[in-house]
Amino acid sequence: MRKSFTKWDVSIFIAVLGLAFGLYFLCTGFLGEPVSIEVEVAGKPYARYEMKRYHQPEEIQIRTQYGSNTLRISDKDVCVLDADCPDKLDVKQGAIHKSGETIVCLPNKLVIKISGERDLDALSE
Amino acid sequence: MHSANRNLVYAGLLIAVGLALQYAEHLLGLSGALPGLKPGLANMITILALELLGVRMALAITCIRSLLGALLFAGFSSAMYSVPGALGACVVMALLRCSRRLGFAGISVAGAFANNVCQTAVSALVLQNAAIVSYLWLVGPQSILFGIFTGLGAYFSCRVLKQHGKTRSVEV
Repeated sequence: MRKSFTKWDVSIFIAVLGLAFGLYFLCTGFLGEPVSIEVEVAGKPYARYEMKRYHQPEEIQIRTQYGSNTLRISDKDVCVLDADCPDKLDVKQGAIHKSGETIVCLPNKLVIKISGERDLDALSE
Repeated sequence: MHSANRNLVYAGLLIAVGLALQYAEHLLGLSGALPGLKPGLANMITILALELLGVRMALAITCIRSLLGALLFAGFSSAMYSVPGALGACVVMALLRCSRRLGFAGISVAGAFANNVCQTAVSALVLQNAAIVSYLWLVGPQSILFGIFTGLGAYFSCRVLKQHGKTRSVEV
């Protein structure tokens, strides 16, 4: 019977790690430079901020029926400064700055994502 | 027992155990918020099916198991990513089994990786959600961690089945 673990398995592990990072960089590279910050509440588009207009970082409060989150938007990144959700995972996550990255606040049904120059729509056409 | 009957019994049992594992995963809440990220305990069943019954039976078992699992525990829409993911893993593992040097752990890790990449690709396209792509780098370490675990699980189950059940291994 086949062995449980051989030294050749290690080459599979290395290949898997390499492929995962390769695919990640390929896909995030495909999305291009960050362009806008999109905010969704309960799965529906809520607001959209063009990043190049925020040379001066600005604080924006998103107050919905699900809760309230305060974002700080700049031309490079976005982070959640404060939130009224119990776990505050979105605040702890810190700033995101690359296309395709997201901050999710499940209790407040809030998704913040950075859109790049290109969208996945182009891929499926 | 006649070998065709024995294989049929094994197929039924493997599907049942696979469903139980999927349910356990579902109960533990390991599925997470992302469709692509879960341990894939049921991959163990695909490895066992490949080892005990051969490629064709393994593909059939994987297809039925993932389709039923998706319908029972997660709703029809999740079948869209779980079935291609499970079949992709099955094909990759069947191909890697051609190498006699690889152990269960390596084959299982490659299967877990194929599963995760297929699911991420399908969900990114179906949901039109590029955000999932930014979790792709996580897929590598995750596949290795859970892949070793499921691979060793499959190895020990296989050893027990072959010792007590007098089941022959399918040689590739």
